Amino acid sequence: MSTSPDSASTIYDLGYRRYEGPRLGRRGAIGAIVGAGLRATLGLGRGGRSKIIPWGTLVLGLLPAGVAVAIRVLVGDIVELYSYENYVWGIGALLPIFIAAQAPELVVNDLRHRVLPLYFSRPIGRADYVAAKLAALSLAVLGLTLLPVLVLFAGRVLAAEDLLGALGDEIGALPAIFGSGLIHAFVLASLGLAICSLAGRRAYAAGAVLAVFLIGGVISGTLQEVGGGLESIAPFTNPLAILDGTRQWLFGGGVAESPVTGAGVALPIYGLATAVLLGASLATLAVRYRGVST
Amino acid sequence: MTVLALAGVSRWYGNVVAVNDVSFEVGPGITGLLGPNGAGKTTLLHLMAGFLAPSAGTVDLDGTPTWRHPEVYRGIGFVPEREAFYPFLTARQFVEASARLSGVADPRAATERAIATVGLADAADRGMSGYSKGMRQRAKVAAALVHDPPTLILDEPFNGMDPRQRLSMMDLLRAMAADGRTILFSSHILEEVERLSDRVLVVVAGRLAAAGDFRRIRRLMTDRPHQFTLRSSDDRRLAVELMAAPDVESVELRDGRLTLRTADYGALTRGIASAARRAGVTLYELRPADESLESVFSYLVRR
Amino acid sequence: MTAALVSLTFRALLNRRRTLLLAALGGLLVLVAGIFRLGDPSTAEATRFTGRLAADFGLAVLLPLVTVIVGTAAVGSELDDGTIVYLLARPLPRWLIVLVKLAVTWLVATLLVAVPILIGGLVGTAGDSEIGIGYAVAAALGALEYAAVFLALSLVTSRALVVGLAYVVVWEGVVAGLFAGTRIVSVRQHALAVGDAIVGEGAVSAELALSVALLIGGAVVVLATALAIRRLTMVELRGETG
Repeated sequence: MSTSPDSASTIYDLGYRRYEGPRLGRRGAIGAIVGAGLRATLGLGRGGRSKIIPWGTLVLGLLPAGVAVAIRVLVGDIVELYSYENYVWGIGALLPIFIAAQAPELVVNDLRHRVLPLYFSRPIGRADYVAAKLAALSLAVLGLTLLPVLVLFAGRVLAAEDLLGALGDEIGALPAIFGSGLIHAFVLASLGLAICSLAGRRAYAAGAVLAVFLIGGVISGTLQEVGGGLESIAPFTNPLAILDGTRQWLFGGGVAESPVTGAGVALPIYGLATAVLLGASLATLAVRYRGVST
Repeated sequence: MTVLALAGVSRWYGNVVAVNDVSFEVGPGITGLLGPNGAGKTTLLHLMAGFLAPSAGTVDLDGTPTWRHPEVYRGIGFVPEREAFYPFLTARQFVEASARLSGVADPRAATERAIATVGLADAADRGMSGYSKGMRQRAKVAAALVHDPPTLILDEPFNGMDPRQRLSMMDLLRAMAADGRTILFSSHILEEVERLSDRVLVVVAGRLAAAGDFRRIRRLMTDRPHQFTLRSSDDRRLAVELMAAPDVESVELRDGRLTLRTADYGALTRGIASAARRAGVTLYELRPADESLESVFSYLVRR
Repeated sequence: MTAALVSLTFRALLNRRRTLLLAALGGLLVLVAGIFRLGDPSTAEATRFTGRLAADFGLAVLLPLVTVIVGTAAVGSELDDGTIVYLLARPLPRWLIVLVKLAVTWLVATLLVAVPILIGGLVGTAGDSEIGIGYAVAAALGALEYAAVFLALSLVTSRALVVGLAYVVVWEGVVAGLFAGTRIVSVRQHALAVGDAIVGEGAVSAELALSVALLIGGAVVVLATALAIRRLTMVELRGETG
């Protein structure tokens, strides 16, 4: 700190330093976006009101599994309330609500307030950003498509008298449980994010997601009921039915209420439809984010 | 001739007081509302324009309360600070819609007049979403004066304008004030208020800190010494003479300039001529050194 | 003055991308009816399918979705982006603003919902106008009730669209399905009652008598409009930061 004799002007050294240490780099940045995204999706660190829908739907989604496990423990192996196969279809109404409420949190405001250049000024690219957001939403959706089924699985194993025997009986179902849960979560998250990325405001994004699922479901239900050949188109207007068909194709096990039953369509077609749905969603995201100026 | 009168006006949000017991009247001419950011300028203007209910007190335009009396808007033009605009309208459509909404007899002619007044004729048929901030500001002003209101309230009208636009807006406001209109504008930039207003209202932390001609306000601040610079035929002798005078607090001769401080403005201005005569010095110049609004303002804000 | 207000409101509601999207949803209804028609169904089949389409898609999804978006935008988006000041700073009675907004919203929503239902009904039944007209009239009356409710909602909360969607999905979709008693205050059920009364043997048998539906629906419109006027009279504009 020096003062020149002929003037009273001084620049004080307040001790600010540039950060010169090691940086976490691209991987760290992606991890941070995933972590923050997961917190946003679950309403962590937000007020109580933003927790109602994510935690409400998660609890409702786990409730049937919890009840089934409780009955098995208390009463024994008398009724089969839920199978691994029909569980996700059974709680299917919760998935659009969860995605409609939470997916907009991840992408809409970043686009609306034009903060993406701030992300891209760090060592991450557009693909990294989208992938991180997608991972965050997929992980959150797994709470509905995988977690309850795992609870069901754990209940069946732990409630059995012969633990190892039960494990041996049930363990064969694990690939199907994980496979189905992951496919559902990833495809639904991609679809949800793609829709949200096109909306200007969070409320519109939520409305658009709900519209796609509600209208798809209603049209599917109408076509299924009317029949006359239309039931074979019915599953393909409803994303959840397409995914159920894919699950059946890969892992087997029908669901009575699903429009896939009775549609009479070869199961691989559902796999193709899922691929088209996923491809369209990812392409939408790619195009949407390519257009963002940095 | 319209008078906007506030009597004992307070406004609070929950337990935050935004405006605290403010009373004043605004008549014809230009009045500047000055205050740092967050002082309550916008709240005060919105109270005056009838967009906020006073929590206590009354706001009247020529005797009619502005809150919940939409008919007062026949006589008020309001320019909001917020950069709100209809993205689907051109400036001409926007101004014309405003004219029609006010029930102007010949909306087309009024629109052309208002657009010409703010100098937007060349761009008036372009969508407002493509406008710069200054152009939007002028379109908002055109809409506010299209129904020829006797009272004009402008919230931060110079925000986002370049210096040239600023000057022409100032000329416009001066011309409108010369027509006998009551014009009230807010700003946190001293230079604007100083150059434009006949009268200032200084708001600090929701309270009215001062009102009136800022030079007179300055004179009222008796606990702070007034500062003058002088030039004369013999500064050193004048300094000696002045040092003996009772009201003078200090005299300083530095870099060939004589500066003196006094607590009593009136006594000094009355006495200085005879002091110069006694010293046998010719007085060339006597200038208040800190009569800028800036100094008045920083004094009021700091107090 | 009123004419200027009407035209400004129309432009605000129509001149946007979302109108095209909503119109596309209506087009979807017509499209489904057309695809169904290609299958050359019998008359009984056609009546059943078209009725289900008009009621389950038209009244239960399209109608609330369109009205919640248009209805909450009519005043809500102006409050949101600050342009409401340009209406409030004019010598317009506040009740006039509300009534004009409501009327224009109603008209726009009716165009976007009742017209596709009418066309879809005609296409699906190959010209039998009963279903189309019946559910179109139901949609028009339902649009008025929804519009009044959502307009008032947008003056009560700044998150009207989310609350409105929650009402439609949770209350009308889930609660009214489980607890029949709550259907008396479900706009969808009011509209269904009107549709059934006109079509005769409706595709989805309504739970409410026509007189009850009209009475409660009318009361809701009046009360919601009165609330909206009151709220707009009391609405306060703060600064950007306040």
